[in-house]
Amino acid sequence: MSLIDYVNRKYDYLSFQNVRPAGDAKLGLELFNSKSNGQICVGVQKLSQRWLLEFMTELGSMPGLPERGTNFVSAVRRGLINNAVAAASAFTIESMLVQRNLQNEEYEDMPDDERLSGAELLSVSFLPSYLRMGIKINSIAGTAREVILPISTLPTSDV
Amino acid sequence: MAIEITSLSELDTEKVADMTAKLAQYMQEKHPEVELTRGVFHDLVLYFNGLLNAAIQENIDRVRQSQSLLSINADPTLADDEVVDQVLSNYNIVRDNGTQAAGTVTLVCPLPLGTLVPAGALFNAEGVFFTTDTAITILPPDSTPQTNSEKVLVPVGDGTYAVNILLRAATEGTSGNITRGTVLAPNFVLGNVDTVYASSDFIGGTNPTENAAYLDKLQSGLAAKTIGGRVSYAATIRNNPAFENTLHISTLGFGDAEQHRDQHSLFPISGGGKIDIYLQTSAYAYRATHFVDAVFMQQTPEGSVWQIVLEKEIAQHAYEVDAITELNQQSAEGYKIMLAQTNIVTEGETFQPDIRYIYEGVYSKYQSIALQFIVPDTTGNGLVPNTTRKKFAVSLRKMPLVNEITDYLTGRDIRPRGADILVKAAVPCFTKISFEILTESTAVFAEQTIKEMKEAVSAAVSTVGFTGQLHSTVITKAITPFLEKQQAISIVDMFGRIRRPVGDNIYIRDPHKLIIPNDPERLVTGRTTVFLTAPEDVSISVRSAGFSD
Repeated sequence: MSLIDYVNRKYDYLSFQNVRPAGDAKLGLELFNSKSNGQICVGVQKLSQRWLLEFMTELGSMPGLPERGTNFVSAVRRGLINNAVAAASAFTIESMLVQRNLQNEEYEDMPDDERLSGAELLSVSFLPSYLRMGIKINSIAGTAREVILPISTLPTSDV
Repeated sequence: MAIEITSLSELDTEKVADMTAKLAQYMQEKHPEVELTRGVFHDLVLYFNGLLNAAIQENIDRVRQSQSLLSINADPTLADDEVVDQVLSNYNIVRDNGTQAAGTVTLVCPLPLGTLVPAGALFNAEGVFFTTDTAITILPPDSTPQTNSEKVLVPVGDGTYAVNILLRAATEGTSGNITRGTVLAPNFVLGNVDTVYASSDFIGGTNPTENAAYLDKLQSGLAAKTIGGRVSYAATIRNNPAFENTLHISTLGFGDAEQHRDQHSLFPISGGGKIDIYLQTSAYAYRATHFVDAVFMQQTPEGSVWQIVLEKEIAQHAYEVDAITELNQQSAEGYKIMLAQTNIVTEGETFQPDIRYIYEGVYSKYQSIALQFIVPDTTGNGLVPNTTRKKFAVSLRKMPLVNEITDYLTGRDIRPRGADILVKAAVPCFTKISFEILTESTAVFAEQTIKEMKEAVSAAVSTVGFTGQLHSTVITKAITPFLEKQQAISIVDMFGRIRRPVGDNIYIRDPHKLIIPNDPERLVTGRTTVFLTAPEDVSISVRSAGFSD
C-alpha cells in the first residue's frame, strides 16, 4: 500500500511510541515523549492497537462498559496461567472475545485493513516475572502486524 | 451532598452507553476524521467524557426525582433525605428525628441518708443507656424539698427507703422503651443505693422517620391547621411537635352513632357542637406506679379493707388498675380489689366539657378512681377505721399524652368557640397474640431474636389503629422477615379483652380475624377502639415441625 491509500482515513492517536516499519523495537506506552509530540495511526497499525487495548483490558474494569475487555490479564495476575499450554488455551478463548467486541463496533465503510480477521499466537515464553507472547494480528485485507506482549506474572492479592 | 453518586460503578450501563453514543455523534459531526471505535481517543476522551456526563446526568436525575412529590411518593427509598426535607418543609412538615424514651426509676436505699445523682449520670439497662437531665439531690426522710431537683426518701417498710427520679434515654429510639421492673445499673459509684429499677414503663422512644412514613404525614401537612374536618383535627394535633408521633386519632362528632354528648337536651336528638376525640398515642398501654396514701376502712374475716382515692391528677387517662402492692413488693400479684368506682371531676378546669354520664368521660383527663381492696391481714392490730393511713404502690395502665392533648385542644387559642371537645384515650382491646414457630428439630432461636419478634408483632398491631379489625396476616407479615427456609408459623391465636367505658370487660377470640363489635350504645366500635399489644403480650414457642429428612 502507498501513502495515498491512507488519505481521508479516520485516525486514532498512536499510543505506542518508537514504532518502526520493520524489525524488533522496544515500544513505549506513551502518547508523546521528548522526541515526539505524538503521532496518529491508521490501517493495520490502528487495528493492532485496538486489538491490544481490548485484549489487555480486564473484563468489568470499565464502568458502564461491562462487556469490554477479556479475562486474560486477570488470569495471569491470579497465577492461573503458568505454562505454555495454559497460555495458549486462554489466548484462544479470550481472543474470541476480542474478535466479537471489535467486530461489533466495526462500521460499514471501514477499510478492510482496519477490520479484524483474527489473531494468532506465535510464541509463548516464561521469563522471570514475565510472560512473553508473540502475537500476529490479521486484517481482512490480508495485512498483519506482529507484536510482542510482555505481561507481568507476579500474582497480586486481588483475587 | 449525599445525593451525589460516590462511585462511577453506580452508573447504569445503558446510561453510560447512551451518553457515549451521544458524544460520539457530536464528535463525528465536528471531526469526522477521528476514529471512535476502541482506541486511544475512544478510551481517553470519548469514554471518560461519556462516563462523567452520565454521572452528571445521574446526579441531575436524582435531584429531580427527590424534588418531585410524584417521584418521592412513587419510590421514597430513592429520595435523598436532605432534599425530601426541603420539599416537605414547603408543607410545614418537619422531619421527626426520633425521640428519647423517658420514665421514672426507683432508687432503693439501705440507709436514711441523702445522696447526690449528678447531672448526666448514666444508667445501663440491657445495653441501653439512660441519663438524668439535671443533678438530683436525694434528701433523708422527713426533709422538706426546696426545689424540684430535691427528692425525699420514703420509708418502704422493710427497713429500706425509696425515691423515684426521672430518667431519659441517652439516644433516640424504641430501644429505650423498657418495661416496668427492668433493673438498671449505674455506671458510676452511687452511694447509699442498693438497686435501681424502672417503676413505670418507659414511653415515648421513637425511631427516626423513614422517608416512606414521613410522606404519610403529607396529608396532614397539606391540611389547613384549623379545626374543621377530621383530617384538620389530626393535623392540628400532629402539628404540635410534642404530639407529632401520635399514632392514631379518631374524631367523632355530629351524626356519629358513638357521639352521645350532643343529645344532652330535652329531646333525644343530636344537637351538634360536641366533638369526641379518641387517641392512640402509644403502641400499647404503659404501666405507671404511684405511691398513694390509703385509709383503713374496716376489718373483715378476709382481711383489712383499705380505700384509696386516686385523684384525677393520678387517675387521668388510666385504663385500669394493674395492681395494688406494698411499696417493697411491686412485683407481687397485688391485693384483691373489691371496688373500683370511676368518677368525673371537671371542677377547676379552664374548659369544662359537657359530661352527663360517667361512661362518657371515662379514659379522659377528668376521671378519678376510688378503690377498695383487701389486705389479707386478719389481725388488724393497731388499725383505726377512717384514721390509720399507709402508703401503697398502685400500678395503673395508661395511654400517654391524653392529658396534654386535652389541654392543647381545649386551650382558648385553639378550641373553636362553637365546639365542646372531649379528648379520651382509645377504648382498649388488650390483645394477646400467641403462635408457634415450626422449624427443624436442630434449629435454635436466640432469645434476642424472640424478643425482636415480639417487638415486631407489637409494632405491627399498633399500625392497625381505628379500623376495627385485626387480621392474622398482620402478625405473619411482621414475623416473616425473621424466618428462614424450613420455618413456618402455626395458626395465630388472637385473644382480645375489651374494657368498655361502662366498666366491664368483653372478650373476643379468633385465629384469623379479630373484629371489634359494633356497639355504639356502649361506645365500643371500630372508631373508638384500638388493639393494644405489648411485647410481653406476645407468646412465641418454637416447635419441631417433623420435616422429612
